[in-house]
Order: sequence, then structure tokens, then C-alpha cells
Amino acid sequence: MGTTELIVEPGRQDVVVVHDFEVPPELAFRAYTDPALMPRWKGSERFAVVVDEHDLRVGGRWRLVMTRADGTEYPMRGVFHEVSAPHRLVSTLEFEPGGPGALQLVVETFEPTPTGCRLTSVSLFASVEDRDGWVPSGGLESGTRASMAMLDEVLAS
Amino acid sequence: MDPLSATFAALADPTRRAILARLADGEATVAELTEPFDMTTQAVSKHLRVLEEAGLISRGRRAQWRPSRLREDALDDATDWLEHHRAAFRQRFDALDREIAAMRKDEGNQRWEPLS
Repeated sequence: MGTTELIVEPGRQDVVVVHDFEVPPELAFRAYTDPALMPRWKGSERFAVVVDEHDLRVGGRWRLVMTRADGTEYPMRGVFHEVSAPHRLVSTLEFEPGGPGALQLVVETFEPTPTGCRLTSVSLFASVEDRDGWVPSGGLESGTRASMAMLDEVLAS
Repeated sequence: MDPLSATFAALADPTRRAILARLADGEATVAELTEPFDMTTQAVSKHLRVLEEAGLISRGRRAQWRPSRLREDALDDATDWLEHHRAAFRQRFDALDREIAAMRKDEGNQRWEPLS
């Protein structure tokens, strides 16, 4: 299994995820953008994922719905801004009901490494407040590093 | 606000973290907590109320003194929650890695063992 790192620096307006795949960019990109595979890896025990639309080309739209066990739906959608397989993908993401985080610009790059390739996904928000609003309630980690630093500070003293 | 958001919101303030750091050494009254800070008793009381509402401290009921005490289990909840979500994120990518391994196997079979 490749390694996954999540970087949420305090005071910044981005969330960065880095994952090392053990396959070349061509294969990783194809799997990552295959809507048929998404329900099998984007969900969790708590959320089922249904892909409504996934038009992978410049200007194409995507929409997926995450459904919690109690039936609550979290629809999100966006538009592909750049599709340069297998190296770069630029898209927007927002919660349909105008939920936390407002609009994100997501830049995903796949770079070859000696053992496969590295995905770096940068989600850029319009402000630090938007970023911090997304992180705890969006099903992602909470301001992970920020909060861990705070906890460390408290616990170390 | 849900309890964890309240915890993180409470931790976001440097004065409140300093108060928690002081309480990690043992319980203290408002007067004792006010001393190291360039603040009024009312301001410190306000911070203590936020920390109490976030479940990070408990306060004695003796009206006059009301010593504050750190609730370490609340900090544990916050740490657990972060770890849970961090793990969920890793699981997703592990699942994607497995899908890729399966894809590779299928393609390998097609390539090397064509149906006759």
C-alpha cells in the first residue's frame, strides 16, 4: 500500500493530500478518475458514494452524492477546468446546498517516482475561514496540524 | 455547535491554551489564573466559561472560589477524533490501491492469457 499524507497548515487557505502510488501515472490517473471505481474507494463505513455525472473533459461537469447511514445526503459538484491525462487535473468542488468551505479549486498532479508516482492534491479555498470551515465538518480531518499543534502545546506544558 | 467544534473553537485562542497549560499543573481559582495575564478578572472568567462549555474544564461549585480543573478526557476525545478522520482518509487511498491492484491483475490476464 502506498503512503498517504494530509497537510493542513495553520493560517493557510489550502488542504494538501499527498499519496504515493506503486503504479505509473497512466494507471493511477485512470483509476483515480474512473467513475465506476469511485463508489468502491471514495466512501467509507459511514458514507456510501453515488456518482451522478462525471464528464471528464475541459468544461465537463461532475456530481456525486455521499449518503450517510441515516439517509442524509451530501451532494457535491464541480466542473473540470483542465484535464491533462495522466499528469494534471484541475477542477472545482462545492457542496450543492452551499455547505461548508464554499468553493474550492482543486489541482491534482501525478508525478513519476522511482517506485510509481506521487499524487499531490491541493484544494485551494477563497479564505482561511472557508478552509477551516470545510475541514472539521466536511468529513475530512479537522484543521489537523493546527489542532494537533494546539494539543501538543497544551499537553507538553 | 457540536461538542468537538466547541472543543476546537475553544482551543483556537492562545489565552485559553495558556489557561489550560496552567491548569495542567493543577486546579486554580479565577484570581490565580488572572495573575499571569494582563487581563481583568471578567475577561478571564469569560474564557473560563468558553472552556467549561467546551467540556475542557470543570469548575468547583463553591461560589466564591470556583477553582477550575482541566478535564483531560475532553482532550482525549479531540485527539481520537482527529485520528479517526486521518485513518478514514488513509483507508480511502488504501481502497484505491486495492482497486488498482485488481485492475492490473485483470489487464495482466487479458494480456497474457487471452481467451481462446
